[in-house]
Amino acid sequence: MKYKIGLEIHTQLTEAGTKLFCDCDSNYRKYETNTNICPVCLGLPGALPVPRRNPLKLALLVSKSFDCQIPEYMVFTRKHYFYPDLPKNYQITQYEKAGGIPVCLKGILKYFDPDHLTWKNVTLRRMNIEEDPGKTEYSEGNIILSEYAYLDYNRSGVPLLEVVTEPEIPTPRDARKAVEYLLLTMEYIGAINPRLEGSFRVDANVSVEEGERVEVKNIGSTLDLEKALKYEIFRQSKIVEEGGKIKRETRHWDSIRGVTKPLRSKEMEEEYLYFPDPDIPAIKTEQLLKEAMSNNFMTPETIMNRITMYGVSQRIAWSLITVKPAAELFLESVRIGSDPKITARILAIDYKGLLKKSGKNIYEKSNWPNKQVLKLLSSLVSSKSYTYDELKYNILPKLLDNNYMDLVLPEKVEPTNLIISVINEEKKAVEDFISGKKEALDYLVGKVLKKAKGKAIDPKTIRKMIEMALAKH
Amino acid sequence: MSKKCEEDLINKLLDLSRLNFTEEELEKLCNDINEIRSLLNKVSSISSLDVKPLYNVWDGILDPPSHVGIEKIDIDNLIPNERIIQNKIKIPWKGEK
Amino acid sequence: MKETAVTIIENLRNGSVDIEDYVFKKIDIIRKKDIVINAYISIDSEDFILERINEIKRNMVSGINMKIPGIVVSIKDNISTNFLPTTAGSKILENYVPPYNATVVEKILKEGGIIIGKTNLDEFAMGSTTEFSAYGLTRNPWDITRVPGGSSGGSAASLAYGSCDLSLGSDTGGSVRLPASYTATVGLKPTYGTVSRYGLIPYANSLEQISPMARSVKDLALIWDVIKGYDEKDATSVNYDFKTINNKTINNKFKICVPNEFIEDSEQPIKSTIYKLLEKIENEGIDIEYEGRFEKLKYALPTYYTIAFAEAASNLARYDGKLYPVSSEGFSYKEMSENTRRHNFGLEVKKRILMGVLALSEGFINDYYIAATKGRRIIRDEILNMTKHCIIASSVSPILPPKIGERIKDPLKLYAMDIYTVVANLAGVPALAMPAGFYNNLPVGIQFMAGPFEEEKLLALGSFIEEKTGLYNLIAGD
Repeated sequence: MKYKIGLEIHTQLTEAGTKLFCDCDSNYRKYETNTNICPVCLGLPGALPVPRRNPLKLALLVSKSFDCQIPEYMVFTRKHYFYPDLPKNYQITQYEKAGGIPVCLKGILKYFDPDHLTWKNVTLRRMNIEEDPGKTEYSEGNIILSEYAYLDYNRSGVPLLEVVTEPEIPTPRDARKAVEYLLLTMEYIGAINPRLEGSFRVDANVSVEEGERVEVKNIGSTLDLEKALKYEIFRQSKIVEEGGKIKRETRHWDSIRGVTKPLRSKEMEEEYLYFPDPDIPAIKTEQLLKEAMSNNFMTPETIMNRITMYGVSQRIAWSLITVKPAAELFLESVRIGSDPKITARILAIDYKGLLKKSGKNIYEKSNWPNKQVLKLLSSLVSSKSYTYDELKYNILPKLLDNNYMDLVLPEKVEPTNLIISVINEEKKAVEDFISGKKEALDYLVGKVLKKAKGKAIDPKTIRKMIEMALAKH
Repeated sequence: MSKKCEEDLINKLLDLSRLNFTEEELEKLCNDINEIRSLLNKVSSISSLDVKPLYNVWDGILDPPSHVGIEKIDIDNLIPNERIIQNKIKIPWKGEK
Repeated sequence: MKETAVTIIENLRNGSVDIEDYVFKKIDIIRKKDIVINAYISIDSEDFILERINEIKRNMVSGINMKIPGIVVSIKDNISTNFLPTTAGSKILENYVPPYNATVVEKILKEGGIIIGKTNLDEFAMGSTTEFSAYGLTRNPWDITRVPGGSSGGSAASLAYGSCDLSLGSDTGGSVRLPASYTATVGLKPTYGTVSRYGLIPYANSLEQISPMARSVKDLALIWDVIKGYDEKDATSVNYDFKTINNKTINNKFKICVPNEFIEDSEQPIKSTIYKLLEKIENEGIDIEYEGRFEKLKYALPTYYTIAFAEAASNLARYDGKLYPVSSEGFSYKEMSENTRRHNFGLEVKKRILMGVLALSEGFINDYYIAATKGRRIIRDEILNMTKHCIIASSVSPILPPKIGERIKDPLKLYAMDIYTVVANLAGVPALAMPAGFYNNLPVGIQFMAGPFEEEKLLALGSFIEEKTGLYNLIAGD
């Protein structure tokens, strides 16, 4: 069945430093409730919103990265509705139909599809900057039944960049990849840390066979996005197949049960009384954008191209750039003479794998080996002092615990004697292997490795050599 | 000028303003509203003119500052203690209705 | 020469008058008279005032330069102070003590001003007579059966009965000029953007300015100098270099024009008082032109009120019981917010909110709000053109100070009081109101409007006129 997907992605500019209209912290997570507030973000009477430079610059950079038509001036508008988490009972946003002018009028979200190793495009309808409301907790955890609600305004006023796509996203998986790439770009620009909880949320619009569109809200991860879209398409398709009609509605994604559920329908269409905010004059974008670009930011695409220019495959290059510190380290080390292919393989595959397994934070640069170490390692392999596999099994795990420059390189050892002595000592295992027990080989390999403890040795090679030796029997 | 208000319109305005009135209050109010509307209506003939709306009287442009230095505050002195639980502000909820 | 704030400061500085004596005399006056006049909503405790006085004395001794050391100032209760509640004349902000001071309050404190109390106003500054306050009405010290004007009636009255020597009000559509003209005081609505609005509880953000008041133009110049200036905390604040204006020669070669529409429909006593004054200053060598027209005046009230109501409705949305001391009971958030607003907003405020919502709603916004913003540009441009050639003189009020209760039954009668004053707010230009004379012992005021940032011109003209008329430092009951 044919379907249409459009997305509205709300991203927090967590790294902006300040909230959008005041000096309070843009990253509110480390604060006790109601301690990251001031008269402005609490909307106290007489306090005035003054847009801060950095969030605006970051938003403009994001616009620039996606080929946006950036207007000469931006204009903020007020959007009115009564809600506990909105201190002024209006949100300051940028709504074009009411005299507002957003930070991006039209653009192209070009994203990488790693499954097909190709770049794809989605048209962006607009991007606008607005302030986040505060947080509401419900006394019984339930938005419908709770008797009381508890308000925390630490998040109120945090800068949000809302990104709206045209309904031309081809598949649920593409939706996921597009959002991941959007967030990656924003991470590279220094606007967001997408791993912070609640740093982005997605509302999706889904319609099937040219029918009415359904809005699905409350999607908090890209994995959930793909699941929610698949589910919603399936749900709508079933209804249509059975002869029913889809009604226009808003639904809510329940990530625990894996279904979308209808939200209470509102009796009246929402009306927001939009008009340009009289406290905030128009803002010229030219100088801000110039200033923002003077810091030489680079998009993931630019960096990926640089990496592939070194002869690294697209697949590996992509694996590098999805973890920014790894991409940075790659470029830093090849600049000082590291072998590109070897370095790429270490960073993108083997060391990355070790880090992930260890539970350490792969996005923390200090958990990775520094560029000098990488250069040393790559030269060990390129000069054939070690094989890559020896490096992989013997040296990389050591780096995990301690990635200092003064790495003690393990002695190389010729394994033949070790193998012979093990074969002689472990007669039972040898017999088991010859009689067909495969596990016996693992045991023998293990014994050799144990004997060689501390020295550079490569389990794959050992395994082959044992097999060859025993084959003679 | 009709003395009564258009019910739909008035209900919409009341809903959007979070205000409510008794029947008698509404009746008196409607008179005033109609009178005031007759004043404001005088401006509607301008809507067709090809003039740019004026929002900031000097058509001002803002140069956004990086930092202004507004100090953080506590909610302690703002809201009575009964309405603060674990430093969160407590309000009745029970859903939209 | 009569004593004004200027001379008082000199005496305080040179020690011939003791600050404590001076201030406590004012406190006595308030004790005696405010029961009847009700100019003040709240007054500082004596301990607090004594502390302030000692602080200022210490500063004077250590040679710190202050512009208004020891002078008693009253502040309209919609300007935020962290040492006194700030109610905006409304029940809904009862007991609200802001956790911060308005920028102008910080400036006054820095320059040694002693803020004695917060003055009464129409609720949220919405009114022209100070009869809409939740804290009782304010009476005109010149005739206590009459109103002092509004919405800064408390500030004007506090000056008029001598309880303070300088005051701050706010002017959205004439709220400082109208009370000035009814109480024989002076008020200046500054050029939009020259005084920070940070801390001013907003009614209509694009129209209003905190405005100084005093009993003479020379005194006004003092407090204007303290409060004006660019403020980063206010995005509509204008970074204007006033210093350069002293270099321009204000050579008393004023040209005044009196467009017909700005005076012709006023009551006869007002017209004759104003014409008499104009004649007098014409004889002093000032060029006055009477033939001009301003036909667009008929759009002024609808344009002004549409914009003001819309901005007001938006600004008052936040009062719903979740964030301030006052909050009503309710089962749900909706009920609590509705009840809070129902029980704690006055009727006039509720009316204006409804009209503002109407002006912004779908289907109406083009014919109301957008149309009004277009009308505003037209009016502004014409006023800017006119003030390039002359200072516009006009009546401040079409009527003499009305009796209490007379104007508030009919909204259009009330709004009509603002006909001459809203123009300056729409156009952003500075406007000065000062005494023109008396009629049957009731004050009559005159208004002057100049071009943007031309406050010095107005102050020079006003100063010149008050010297000739002697109509300054007029205290009711003296």
